[in-house]
Parts: sequence; C-alpha cells; structure tokens
Amino acid sequence: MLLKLIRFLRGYVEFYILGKFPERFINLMLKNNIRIWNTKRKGEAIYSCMYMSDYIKIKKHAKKCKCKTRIVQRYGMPKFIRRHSARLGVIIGIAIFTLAIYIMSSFIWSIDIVGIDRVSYSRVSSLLADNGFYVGAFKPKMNYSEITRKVMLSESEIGWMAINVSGTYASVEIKEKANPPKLNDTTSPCNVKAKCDGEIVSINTLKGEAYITAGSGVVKDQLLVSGVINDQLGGISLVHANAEIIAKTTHDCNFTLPKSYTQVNYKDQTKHRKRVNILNLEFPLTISGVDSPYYAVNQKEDCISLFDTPLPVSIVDESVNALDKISFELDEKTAQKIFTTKVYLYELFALNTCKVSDRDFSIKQSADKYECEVKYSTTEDISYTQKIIADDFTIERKIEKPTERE
Amino acid sequence: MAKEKNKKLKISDMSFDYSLPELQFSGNKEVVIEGSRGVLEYSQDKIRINTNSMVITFCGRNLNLRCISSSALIIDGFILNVEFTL
Repeated sequence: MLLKLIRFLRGYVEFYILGKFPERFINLMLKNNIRIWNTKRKGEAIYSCMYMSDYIKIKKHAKKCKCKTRIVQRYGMPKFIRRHSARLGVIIGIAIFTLAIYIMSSFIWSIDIVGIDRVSYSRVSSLLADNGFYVGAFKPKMNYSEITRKVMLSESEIGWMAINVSGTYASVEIKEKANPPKLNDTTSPCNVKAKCDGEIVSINTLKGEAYITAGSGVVKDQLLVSGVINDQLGGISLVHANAEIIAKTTHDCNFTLPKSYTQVNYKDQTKHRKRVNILNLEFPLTISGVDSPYYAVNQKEDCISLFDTPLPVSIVDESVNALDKISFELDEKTAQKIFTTKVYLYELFALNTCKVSDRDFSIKQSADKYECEVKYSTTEDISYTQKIIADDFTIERKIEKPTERE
Repeated sequence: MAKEKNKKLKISDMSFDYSLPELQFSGNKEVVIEGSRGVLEYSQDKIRINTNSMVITFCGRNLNLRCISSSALIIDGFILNVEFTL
C-alpha cells in the first residue's frame, strides 16, 4: 500500500523494450540502480514499469543494447497535475483541503471529562485550561504527563488522572480521592471542658470525675469533667471522660443597615445576540446591545456534531438583560422587617444547637445607619472533649505500687 | 515431541553459506531469489538467472519478473521445472 502510494506520488511509466538484447538492458538498469517492476514478456517485447524521473536516463543504455523503448502509459501525480494544469483552481483547492485537514487534525476539537463527582466540571476544565489544555490547543506542543501532574497538584480531591487523546478528541479520566470516614473516638483518654461561659443547669456524668455541680458558674475552657481518676490504691488511671452538661448561656449579635442604598433591578429590555466559536476564535453572527451601562449576560453554548463526532464549532447564544440602578431610602419599618429576617436566619443557622429561652431585640439609628443588637438567653450543651497528652514517664511516675509497710 | 519441535526452530543451529543464492518458493507460483547477479534469458516459458556460483533456470508458463533489484528478484507464474547449472 505504502509502495503504491510512493509510486503514485513520484509518478511512473509503463513502457516496452524491443530489440536485440532486452535482458542486457534489464541488467544495465539494475547496475545503475534504476528500479523496474511488473516485467512481462509479450511476444518480442518486454513490458515493464519504472519511475518517470528514471525514464529520462535510460535512452543511452537502450542504445548500448540496441533496443528501443516506448512509453505505453503514464501514471501518478505528475501526470494528474500536467493534465489538470489548466484548471489551477482545482489543484489549489485540493492542496488547501489537504493542508486544512492536516492543520485541523493537530488541534484538540473536544474535551470530555469523566469520573468526577465531588469536583465540579468547570473547576477541572478551568484547571486544564490554565495548564494549556483547552479546545483549540495545539497538540504537538503538549506534554500530557506534565499537565496531569500540575492539575493533580492544584486539586487535592483528584486521586488519579489520565489524558487520552485519540485524533482530535480528548478524554480526561479522573478518579477522586476516597476520604476516610470520621470515626468517633470513644477510647482515648480525654477531659470535658466548657466551650463558653455559663451557669450549669444539669450535669450527667457518664465517665470521669466531675469538678462542678448544678448551679456553678463556669468560664470558657474550664475543666468540667476530668479524665484522670484517682483509684483506691493511690494510683491514677486515664479514662475517656464523657458527660452531658446543660448550661444557661448568653449570645450577642449585631446587624447594621445603611439608611440609603442602591439596588440593581432588571429592566424589561432584553436583546439576543449570537456568535460562532471556531476552535478559540469567535466571530459575531448578530450585533445588538442594550441602552444601559449596566447589564447581565446569560450565555448558552451549543456544540455542533457530525455523526456523533463533536466538531470544534459551537454557536453561543447570549441574552443581554438591561439593569437599572435605583437608590432607596430605608425607613424604620422596612429596616425592622429586614432585621427580623436576619435575626430569624441567625437563630436558624448560628444557634441551631441552642434552645432560645429569651431574646432582647433593640434597634438604634444614627445619622446614616440602623443598628440592631440582639441578646439571647439560651440553654445548651457546653461540653467539648480535649485529649489528655501524657508521656509514659509521667504515668509511670504517678502510678506507684504500694509498699509492704503500707 | 515439543522439545524436538523447538530444536528444529533454532536458527543458531542452522549454518548459512552466503556465497550461495537463497531461494524461497511459495508453492510453484512464486519464487524469491536473493543473490542474483543478472537476467541471462527472459521469455514467458523460461527465465535464466545468473548468481555468484551457478545459473538457475526456471521453466514454466506465463513467467513474469515481478520485482527486480540489484541483488534480488521475484518471479511469479506457473513454475514447472528448476535447473541448476554449475
């Protein structure tokens, strides 16, 4: 196949040899490194093929052997060009087409990312683009292993990644890291401490030695239940202290709102414009805009595919919405409404572990802003555990065996 | 049995004499000759090839020289007889 292609590109002739010593002529061809093939004897003449460029050289050898050569037919690209030399446009067109196919095949036309669950598609594609791997990227310049390494270093959630390029289509395969589940530590020695100031309402010690009682006041990080227990023999043992400690606590929060502010609203004016995206080049199909300095753009991109093969051509449909900037003056009633919503959201998210028993809500206003101050009285579990860090030496020293005298 | 087969396939056991031409037949339809020095006679029924040490004559029907280079050639057709002349 390759040989046929080379012969076609170089151009060859079918010719016949007629004369006294045609065998000698063949041997002379071989000695002079002139290739001949498909040699056939038909009657007196020997028919054979050789490259067009070699045929010019053989006349003197034919004379030596007292032979005559005649061309039967010409084949190949030079003959085609000569025949169609008058139709220059066709030849140029073929050349441009061949060149276009060659050039276009050296770009990435479409990228498919598979295997992502936690990491977003846009995050991976933007990381790939930052490292030079995007639709329209020049393939020969790319170092896929380097791109893979850099993307994996940038995104810690990716455990394994590979870029497979077949032709102009690239498939990025990703395996995300498997994070170990959080295990509840119920064995290692620890103390129970207070996570905020408060007054103890009830204490239910499951393990450990309690240092407080109901009604006592505690400060933040105070030891409530100790995991170090003195045993009857005078030694100590370390346990995983566990207790449910409900305490009365207070929480404060402040919100502010400016008296005058600007708001951006949608106008009824919407315009559509389209553009075609070829590899990384964008050409507008329609030109339109809105009469407003502020606008929002929604973009929708449709990739064109031919027989399920995505092409590097996409049509981008943009809808441009005009925006209007309106300045408002905030009255007290509206401010109160907004503050009520904010307080509700604060209780819902920030105080979701507390039981709100009372709240003190006060709004103050100054020259340019409204201020809201909320004081909460809550009851909540204020315990948190902190690991006891003790080296072996300390424990051995403290745990002393009773002597015979004792 | 398997050992015997392996022995037969061992190339190191075979000895080559590079002064002699090498002939590779595909039935009686095609023959590849390596070590040829030129074509002495060529007709549809008879081809005589000169080699370093002998002249090989192929007799048959519709014999063609399919491919010729300075040291090798391929003959195809219906080969009926091969003759070696020292």
